[in-house]
Amino acid sequence: MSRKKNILKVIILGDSGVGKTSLMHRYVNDKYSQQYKATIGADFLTKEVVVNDDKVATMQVWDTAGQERFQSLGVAFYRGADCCVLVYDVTNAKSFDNVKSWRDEFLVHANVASPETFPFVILANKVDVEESKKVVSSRSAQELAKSLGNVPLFFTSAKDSINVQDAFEEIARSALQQSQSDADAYEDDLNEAINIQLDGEPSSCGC
Amino acid sequence: MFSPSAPDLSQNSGELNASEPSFASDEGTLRKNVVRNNGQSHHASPSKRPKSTILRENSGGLSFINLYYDSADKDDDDEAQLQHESEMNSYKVDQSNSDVEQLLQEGGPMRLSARDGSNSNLDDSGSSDALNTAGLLPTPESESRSSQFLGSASLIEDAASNSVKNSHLDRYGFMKQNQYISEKQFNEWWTNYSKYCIRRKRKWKDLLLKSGLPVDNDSPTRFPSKSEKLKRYVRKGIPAEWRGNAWWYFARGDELLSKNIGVYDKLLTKINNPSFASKDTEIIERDLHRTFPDNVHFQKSKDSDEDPLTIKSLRRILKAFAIYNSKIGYCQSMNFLVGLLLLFMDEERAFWMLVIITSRYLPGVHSINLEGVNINQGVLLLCIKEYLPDFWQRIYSNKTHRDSGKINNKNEFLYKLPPVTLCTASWFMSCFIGVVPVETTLRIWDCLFYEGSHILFKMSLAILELSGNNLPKAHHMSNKNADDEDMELFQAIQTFPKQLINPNDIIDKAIFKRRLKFNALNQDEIERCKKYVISQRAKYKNFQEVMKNDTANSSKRDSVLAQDLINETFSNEGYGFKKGLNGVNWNNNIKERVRRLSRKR
Repeated sequence: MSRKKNILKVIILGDSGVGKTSLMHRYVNDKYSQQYKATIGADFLTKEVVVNDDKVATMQVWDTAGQERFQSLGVAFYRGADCCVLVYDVTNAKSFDNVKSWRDEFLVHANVASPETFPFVILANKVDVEESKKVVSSRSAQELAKSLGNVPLFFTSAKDSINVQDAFEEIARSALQQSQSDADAYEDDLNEAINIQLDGEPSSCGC
Repeated sequence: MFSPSAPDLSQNSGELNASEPSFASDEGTLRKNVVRNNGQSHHASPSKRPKSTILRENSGGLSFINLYYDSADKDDDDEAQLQHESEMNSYKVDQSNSDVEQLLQEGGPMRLSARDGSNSNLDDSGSSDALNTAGLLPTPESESRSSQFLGSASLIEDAASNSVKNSHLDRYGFMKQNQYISEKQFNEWWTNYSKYCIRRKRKWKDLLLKSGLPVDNDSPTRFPSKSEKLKRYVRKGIPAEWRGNAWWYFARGDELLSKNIGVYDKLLTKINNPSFASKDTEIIERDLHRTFPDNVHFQKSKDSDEDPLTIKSLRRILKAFAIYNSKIGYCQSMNFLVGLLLLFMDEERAFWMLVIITSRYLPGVHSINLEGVNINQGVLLLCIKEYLPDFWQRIYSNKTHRDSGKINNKNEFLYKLPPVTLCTASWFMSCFIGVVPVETTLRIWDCLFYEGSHILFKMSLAILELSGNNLPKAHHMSNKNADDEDMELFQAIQTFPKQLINPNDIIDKAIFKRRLKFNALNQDEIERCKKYVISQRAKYKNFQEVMKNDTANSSKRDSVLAQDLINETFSNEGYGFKKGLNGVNWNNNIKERVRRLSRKR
């Protein structure tokens, strides 16, 4: 009864305008456009990935709306995620400050089995801009990544295609790992669930 | 001083209710009619050559390239034909408008129609002079509100030298081509649809004339009183150049504006104050250029770094609204609503239309906790369950088994919304902008302002049904992975509507067919359903809170009991849709009991 899971669900979170949509399109279609609209609700793209040269999976990348209030919608779909990508904009200090709260928010709603080991990846986006515009130092980024449990950190540019492929390879790797450990846990859950049904009163479901 | 609180418009929604019509036409009359149309020289004779014209609305709004018949062009339809019109279908088969077609294909001579209806020839050179003398170019308005008109001189020149057919832009300034529709597809569709628009506009003109309403300057400001006939006309599309006025009229904008004279200007004074600061400003600024980057009116000109007028208007409206209604502030998606409005009306009206949309048509949908969205999604789910049972199976039933291993109460989906609602939430928040192609969006908006928000539910159901048809059959029992199914479903829901280039396809499906199953779904039903969802969600929230307090100092067994209690309470309260035909109000409880009884036997 093993659930063969070949879909990796990846969720991209971060403040509005940090480049979540751009990163997703850069990775999936290798394209960049100045013309992305603000994302309302959520959007997703899929891509076939090969991890560790032998395992094939479909990565489902979910792009989300960045405005805080949209979190009231996201609750249901955080569940079942295999990796969470936290994005900030190196020219926007507030977006960096919010990385931790995005992570916490995710953990509250995703209902993951073991929050300590759940894989996150941090992307510091827009590194293509001129130095004078950057307000978040690499060092503070590294410190944050470390403090959140040695989260992998990538300095990316969706515009100039810097580090995006590398970052998503790492994302795919950790998502696959998570998905496998999840699948094991799922079987335990399933057994438990069956037990509950056996113990309890007859199911009220008539279908 | 003005009152910063939004006027309570929610009480008025009742007035929008319209009992569902039985659309008076069937296959038979349709076919007859097509023949009649062809036989009666419905097509243009050389003396009635359609002219491609540019015009601008009285109220401001956008400069269109528009194709329509000269005002001297008398409609030869008789009343009977109007009663039995069959435009929805006949335009597809009616190939006899050869003059029109030829003109469309050749690009045709471009004419400029001034407000007084007199046409002045325009050649490519010197067009801006001609426009100036015709009084068509924007004159600088007050400092604070410079963007009364969207059309810039250069745009009008472009428009004059290129018909829609030859341009990369549609008649509103959007790129024809996008990820889902090629320019070729667009042009093929437009060849037919533009003819349809021409015919519809003639019908509208007739209707207004017969109702004794002026069509002055091609910008009527008053429309006939509500009737089945007018509703049918609206559903078939309001002429693009009249849309701003018509939306404003049907949404009773004047009523609101007359109570709030000067309010918008006061808001502008506030936001123009250098010391003005709002927590929404940053995110508004971020979204301005991400509103319609593919529309020429929202793009910076090549040689200037200054924001285009439309962007400036958009900024002012959003900032003003954020302080006008602090319960909402700024919510992403409002940028799209205002952006689209600005293509059809001036800034002040667009502001008040936003007020009307967010309070009357979509109350709570943009508020900080987005509870209105969640309520609407709950209503939509109930509708899906009732009207699209197959689709319901896909999105919900099998998932409860899978995810929790046991069935919880029947209404759990009302407060634990399934993931599909992430896609459909944006349909409501932005009223289908960006969800379906723009011409289709506009047709939905026509119906929305005339009939009320239930149109959004009908549209959603129709789109979901059509998206579902494109999917392979659900495989409950097959070993196909449930995740794969989810993904196919999302893919379909996300991409299918973006290809709905012909508005008639979906409008027909959603609201026009007689005996259509959604016909029973009117504004009353939606409002009733909404109340039910609100109460269920509130109850659940209360239970949750009680539970939280309880579980802190009680055993696991108690919490299981509490959960059972919740399930018990909610499962006894199903929602019963009114069944149209004989007026029997079926209740899901009764249905359930009947089912149980028959099983026992």
